[in-house]
Amino acid sequence: MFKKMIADSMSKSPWIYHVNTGSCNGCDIELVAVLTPRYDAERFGFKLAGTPRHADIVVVSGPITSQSKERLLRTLEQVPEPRCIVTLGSCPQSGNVFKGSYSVEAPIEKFVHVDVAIAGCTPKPEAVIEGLYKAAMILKEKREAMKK
Amino acid sequence: MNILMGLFHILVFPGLLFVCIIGLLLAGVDRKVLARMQKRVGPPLIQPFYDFFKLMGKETIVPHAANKTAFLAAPVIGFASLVVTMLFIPVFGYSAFSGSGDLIVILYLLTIPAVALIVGGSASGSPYAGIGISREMVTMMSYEFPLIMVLLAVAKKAGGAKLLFSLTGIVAWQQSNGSGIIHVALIPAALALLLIIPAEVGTQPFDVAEAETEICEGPLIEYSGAPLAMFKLNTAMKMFVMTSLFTCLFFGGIDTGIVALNALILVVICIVLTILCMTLIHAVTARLKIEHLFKFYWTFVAGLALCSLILVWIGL
Amino acid sequence: MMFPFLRKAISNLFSKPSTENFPAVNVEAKPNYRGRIEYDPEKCVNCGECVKVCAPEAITRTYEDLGDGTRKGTYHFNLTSCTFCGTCQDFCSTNAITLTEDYHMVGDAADLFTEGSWIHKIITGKLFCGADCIFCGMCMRNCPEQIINVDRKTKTWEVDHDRCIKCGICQSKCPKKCLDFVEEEDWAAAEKAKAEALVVKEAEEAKAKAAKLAAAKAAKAAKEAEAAKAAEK
Repeated sequence: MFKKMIADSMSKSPWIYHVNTGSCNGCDIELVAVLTPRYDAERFGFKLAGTPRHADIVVVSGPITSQSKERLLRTLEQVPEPRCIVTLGSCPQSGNVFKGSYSVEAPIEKFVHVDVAIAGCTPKPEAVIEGLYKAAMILKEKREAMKK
Repeated sequence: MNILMGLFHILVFPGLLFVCIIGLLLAGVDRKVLARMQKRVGPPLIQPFYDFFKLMGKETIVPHAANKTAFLAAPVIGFASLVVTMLFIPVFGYSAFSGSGDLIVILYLLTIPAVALIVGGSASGSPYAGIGISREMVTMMSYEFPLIMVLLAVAKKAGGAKLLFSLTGIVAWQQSNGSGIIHVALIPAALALLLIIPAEVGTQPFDVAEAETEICEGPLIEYSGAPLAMFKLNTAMKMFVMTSLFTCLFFGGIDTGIVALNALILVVICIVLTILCMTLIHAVTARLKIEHLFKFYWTFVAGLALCSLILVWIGL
Repeated sequence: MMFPFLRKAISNLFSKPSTENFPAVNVEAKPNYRGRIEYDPEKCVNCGECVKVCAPEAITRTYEDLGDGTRKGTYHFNLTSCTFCGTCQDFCSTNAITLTEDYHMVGDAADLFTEGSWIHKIITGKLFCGADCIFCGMCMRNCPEQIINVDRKTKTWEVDHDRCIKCGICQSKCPKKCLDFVEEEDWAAAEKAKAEALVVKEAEEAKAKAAKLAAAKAAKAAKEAEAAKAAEK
């Protein structure tokens, strides 16, 4: 029963940690918009955590500049299991208009496995909620897989 | 039988289980009402339970730089001290433990969760935690001084000629002379205690120590998994302990004679107090700077408490 | 007042929240929102303009040779690379690309693709206009690249071979079916055939003109005779 409660709670209280890897700030604004009264992601228990140690879902935005790559990987290492990685916008997945720049390490898939990708430039807050909700469900599956 | 009763007191009512569940419920009410005040729908009422169980299921990471024993023991110490505090606070005449000096014991026990936070933070070896614990210490210094004066005022009022440091005694006095809140001399003290509660718990305008947008939750920065769940539980329990201490000191006159009904009344009063002194202030103010917090408590709140103390001493 | 939001907070507590009930009730995007790309391979003429104008290189084109003189071309629209600027939509001359108002683009990165493929004959050679041409201008009007120039008065038909994308639209739109793609080595023969056909056509035309003139003359004479008869009466 205790285990089931933990697994159920996993998807109901996902805490978000947001990493900006050189984003233009568009996606970051939309992520914050998700917590505003109009969209109110706290209905599903979403909360912005201050540190990666408290996080369940890591939201990455930006095209991963060479400077921020090392920091991103170090941040991701500090997130306790089970965790989910969500990319926000086109930039982390492909580099978007910065593709081919000498200072951009674009596809994040080179370094880590991404669970949910939210496409858009920038995505609508509704799409962000949808993506985060999907990530929360994956979190539950991961927790159930962890204990087997 | 005595041992069984003692165990019941410690584990179920008014100890561990009761304080945990009501504390988390209060935290849920706080979040829900706060959301409604900001015109949001807000999380479900039992969101803190979800948070607690989720954190229980997460991996616990102990950083390299941390002192493992102190790091892991700190939340448990805070938790234990809060449970013990609750055992000393009578639920309208029904108390698990009582003695002649339990007000002083509570005063000491109430500092332990904050000290646990400081120990845990300093054991984690993070610079953010370092800033956090220094702020936590200043916060503690700020609110402890008016808190002592408030307790002194109540003790003097209840004791008459000499100070009465027994909570059971204070409640008994209130039941014969009316609740503390109806005595004019104690009203400033009640106001002061209402302002001390948010600082003790660490909610919005007074959460300088755990400023999550500023120093990444300060002492809690390196915590994850079960210890973090314990700390979150501690915060929720502190809400209940502090509000029920307020109820005991200023609304002690209410007694229906039935323990279950009394407990229900206590919970209702605690919810109202939580909304009044934590949620409402949280919704309408922004975080203070640490020096402003110190100044606020040592002038305004301490002034209120001192006023009450003088009024009691001159026999009003 | 020290707490200007106190009254607001309390009045909010007793009023309806302004939150949208989003996942339960779907919210439509505002008009002209640029969302998921839709691609209609039936309309596409494979001009490649969208590939050229796409700034983040989100559109790619691949070919697969099917062996029997046809090939399968596929356009890939990578939605996780797109900026949703809408330039491809603006540049598409046949309106094969549309940016819909669907913003639900969430999931595995591998699924966030829009694709469409078509099969066409492999066209080689250069565009050649046969002798049957009537200079109607259908090819000029339908050319996605606008490189055909037809003038009815001077009876000229010109094409910029370097810019021709060999889409074959002109071929399908021609009412006389006189357009053809001719290989380099057959070019001279085709020219020759066209010249001969033109000579024949001109001769025929001259003949027809002469016959027409004669007929007109005869008609005129008959008319005059009739008029003279009427005068006599």
